Amino acid sequence: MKWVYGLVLAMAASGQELDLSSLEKLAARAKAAVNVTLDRDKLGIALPFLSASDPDQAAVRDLVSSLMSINVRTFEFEGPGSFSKQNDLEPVRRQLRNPGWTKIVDAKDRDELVEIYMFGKGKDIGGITILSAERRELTVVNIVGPIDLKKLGGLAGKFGIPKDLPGMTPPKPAPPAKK
Amino acid sequence: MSDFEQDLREALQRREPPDGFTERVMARVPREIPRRTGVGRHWMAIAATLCIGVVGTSSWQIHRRQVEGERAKQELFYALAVASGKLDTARQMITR
Amino acid sequence: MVGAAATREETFSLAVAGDRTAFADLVRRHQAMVYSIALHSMRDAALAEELAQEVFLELYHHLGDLQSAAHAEFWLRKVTSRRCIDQARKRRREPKLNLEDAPEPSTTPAHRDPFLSDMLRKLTASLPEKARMVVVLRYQEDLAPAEIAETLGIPLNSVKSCLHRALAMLRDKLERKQVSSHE
Repeated sequence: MKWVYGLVLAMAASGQELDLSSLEKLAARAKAAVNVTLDRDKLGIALPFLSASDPDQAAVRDLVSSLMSINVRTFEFEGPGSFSKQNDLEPVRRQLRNPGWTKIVDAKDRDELVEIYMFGKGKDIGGITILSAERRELTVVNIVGPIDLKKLGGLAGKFGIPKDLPGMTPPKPAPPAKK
Repeated sequence: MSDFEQDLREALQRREPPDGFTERVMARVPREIPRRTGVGRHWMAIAATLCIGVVGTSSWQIHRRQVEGERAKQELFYALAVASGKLDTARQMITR
Repeated sequence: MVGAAATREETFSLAVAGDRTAFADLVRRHQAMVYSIALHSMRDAALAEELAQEVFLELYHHLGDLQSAAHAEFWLRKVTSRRCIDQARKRRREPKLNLEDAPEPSTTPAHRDPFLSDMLRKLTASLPEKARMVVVLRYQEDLAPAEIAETLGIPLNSVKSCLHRALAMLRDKLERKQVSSHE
């Protein structure tokens, strides 16, 4: 019966894992392109190298241990106007209109947009996709598997931003909004 | 962006330092570059320890696994940094 | 990983693992950014080079604490900006060279209007330290205000108002310079 369970898992995962091959043509126009593909095997290779004694790395292990895959495509362009937020992202958005996906965040301002989609609901989240477009950068992140958005957001500041540098204090949290 | 801002952008373009800058920096860098604890230069010691009791596994394979594992870890950190960074951006945009 | 930025991650990993050639590549990759932030902030090529060298030496000491190539780039920008602000504050207390007399850096890229560009660089360097760095990070590094706030460790609203005031100051000073040169 294990094979049935595996088949069901694979079928369930197929809706959450997006086909990002349409973005490959952007690499030819980009100044820099990053393609990170971490399937289940590769995630399994990485996990033992996360330190159990480091609380940040332990948090990563906890977040990532039941994921099926993480895919990131980032393109950095020389100048603004090198890609279309509408046309270049349409093949990805088309897949996000399939059943199971819900747009949970749609944030736009003059220079950038961020859209966040979730697969599943409540305790049965099966994946997330983040589309981000700035003036010179386009990023797509597709995470397949039960992901805790709150824990993922809590990693901000852990891996891209140093905790302590000589002579610097960490940024203060934003004050609460006035009523 | 306004014409004035465009002029500023042009005026403040990056420029390369004088020739030989990298060489001058490297001349001041001590011969031994610090590494992450537990990995890197000490892989020989780790590999030697692992080899005891492991029959038929070459130290090269162990080293390769170390390198692959470290690389996969770096890619994982990068992916999570990007994802959590974008979540943070969305939060800031919504707050604004 | 593939592409130019994938090489960036590999270079970073090798540098962390102790490869001197990789560390030299890391320096080469980021030297223009670090040097230019210092140069546009201090308008002194010798001081800018000295500060840039110090930043890379500090990077060498902190490599083990960094997680990725992107992290290293952020760290370099942050440390360089902070050091430039500190240096500028120190120089403010010392007798100053008149900016008009400051020697022009030897590598001057061609611009549509080199006189305008030169004037804008001088005027930027005459701004108060924090405003100067906000302008440099915005127009040299093309950082969004939120990124500038993270880099300098100051609130986003401060960045926005600082930028707004700095641009108004620069426009005003430029206009006065242009008027006085025509008289």
